[in-house]
Amino acid sequence: MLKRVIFVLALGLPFVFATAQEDYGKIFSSDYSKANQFFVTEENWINDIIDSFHLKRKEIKAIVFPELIRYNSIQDKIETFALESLYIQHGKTYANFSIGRFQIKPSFAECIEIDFIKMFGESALKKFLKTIVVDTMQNIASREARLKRIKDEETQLTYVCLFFKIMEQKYPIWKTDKEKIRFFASAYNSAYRKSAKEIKEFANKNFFYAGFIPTKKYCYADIAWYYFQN
Amino acid sequence: MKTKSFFIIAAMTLSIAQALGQGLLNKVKNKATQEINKLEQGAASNSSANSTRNKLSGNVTRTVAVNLREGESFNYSESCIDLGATINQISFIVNTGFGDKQQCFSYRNGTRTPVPCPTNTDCSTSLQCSYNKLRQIELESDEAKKYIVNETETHQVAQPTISDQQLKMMSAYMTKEQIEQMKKQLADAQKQTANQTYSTIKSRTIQFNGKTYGPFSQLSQFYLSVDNKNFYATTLEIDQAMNYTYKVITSAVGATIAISGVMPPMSCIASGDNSEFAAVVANNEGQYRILTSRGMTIEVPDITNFQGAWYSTIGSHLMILSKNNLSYDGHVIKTFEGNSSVDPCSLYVGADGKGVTSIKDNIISFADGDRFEYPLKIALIDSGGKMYFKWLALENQSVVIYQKPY
Repeated sequence: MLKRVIFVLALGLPFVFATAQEDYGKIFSSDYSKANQFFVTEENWINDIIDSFHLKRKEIKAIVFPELIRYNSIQDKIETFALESLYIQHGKTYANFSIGRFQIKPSFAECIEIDFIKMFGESALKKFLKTIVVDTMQNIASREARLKRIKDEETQLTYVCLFFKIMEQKYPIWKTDKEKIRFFASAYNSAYRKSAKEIKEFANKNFFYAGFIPTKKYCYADIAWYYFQN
Repeated sequence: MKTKSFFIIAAMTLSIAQALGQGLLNKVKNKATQEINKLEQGAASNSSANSTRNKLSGNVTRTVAVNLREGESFNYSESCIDLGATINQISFIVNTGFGDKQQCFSYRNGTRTPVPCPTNTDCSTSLQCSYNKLRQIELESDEAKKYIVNETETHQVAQPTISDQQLKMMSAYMTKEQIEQMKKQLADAQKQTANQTYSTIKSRTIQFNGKTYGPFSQLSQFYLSVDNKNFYATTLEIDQAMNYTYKVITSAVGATIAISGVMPPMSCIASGDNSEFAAVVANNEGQYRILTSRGMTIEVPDITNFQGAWYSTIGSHLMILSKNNLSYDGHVIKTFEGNSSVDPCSLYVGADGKGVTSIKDNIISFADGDRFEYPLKIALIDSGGKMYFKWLALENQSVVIYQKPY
């Protein structure tokens, strides 16, 4: 009997430690506050875009929130000029990098455009990206146009919403908010085209850090869930 | 083509040499070399025309700095391309392979050296701004602590108390138990605050390059010049009649700018040589103006369309961008398209104040009509007292340096 109790405790302990929540507001302090402040001051257009997709504001904000923290810590130091030129000329295999507050990669935008068209049709994508033609071909003109799109903050959020629509279509049923937010956040931060198993595994890993040098790494999904709750 | 031409020219050279002797032979050899060089330059300019939309006139020089080896590409997590201060200086990192087999090489001034792959993208050489853009330092940041020393004073935390008179009044509407409870809570609060202190900033002193400035009772802004060799700061003085006066001071020159009113400056600007500076300010009536260290006042009538003010790189001329009109010492020299966003950092005004070179959407549009698409890095360099634009491009596998007079 005693052995069984010890066994149950041993199984349960890692779970307790894994779910013990850190105070991310304190850990990321001013970068966290600035990210929070961004959602407050820019509330109108942010809410308008999320509402236009009939998505839940809180869910969208939660999955991108850790990226906002990171952006605040590195924004004065990032230089993407050379990478932008390399991407336009040579494509994502040569230069794939994160842009702007929502840290969107050109490769992510390319995947979203293709997958959204497959699921919802070309006219739906045209409506949301506000362009007459969305060219998913690989050429300089289309990459140049894509880069212009993802450098625009409103369009960045539109890509996030397109991502959420794809994910909801692909993974429609969830038992709890926690499972959904952690899974979607991990998919957003890693690569949403990965298998569900890989995304779930990623959701428990500590890869996230603010700044350039990782002094301590945190779990992206946990930060997103923390923001969702608070 | 190149080989064929070479043989023709070489054969001609040989037959003429036999006929006319050694002296003439050397002359013809030189001519042949020139012809070959021309052919190579032609081939090079063709390769530079990756995009037919590029337009470069005769004053542009093109130099192939290095040819990347097969499989080498710019490390995309490494954007620290350093163009150096002279035409031949350049350094960057490339990588080959993936994962464990990844190897990085540093190309520095023509020398290729294996180096550990960078683990972060902390690049200290950010895109050069066209002018001396002052960097505002948050007063409570670690960086500010290098320059600003705070003198603090300590205060005792006030003890919560209730007078006999207050107790008497309370007993009129509170029960005995409630009063006892309140007294207990008061005692706890007194215990918690006993011998507790807090400190406030009494004054701030700036210590910069061995000199001391201040103390100032209030310091509201602190800026550093691009090279960190000069500071600009805004102090605040409030007299007994509660009149506010902000003052912009600097380590560069003795001049100051005094600003009356309760609003601190919106921004502070300085010329490239730091001999002049100015502040964008608002008075208590909400009227905006630019005050310069030379005593000039320039009205800003429409603040909603005001996009910035700065000093030109050459000649310290005051530039103002408002309603997409760019003015140079008060004269409009260019009007940008209404719906375009213009970044003053990407505007390079010519020495004569007539033309403007701009960088937008990864395209350089020169004042003389030249144009270059997708440079990797752009810098202004000083060569023998003359300013040049220098930029780097990747053309096929060649890393190419271009140079054009400013």
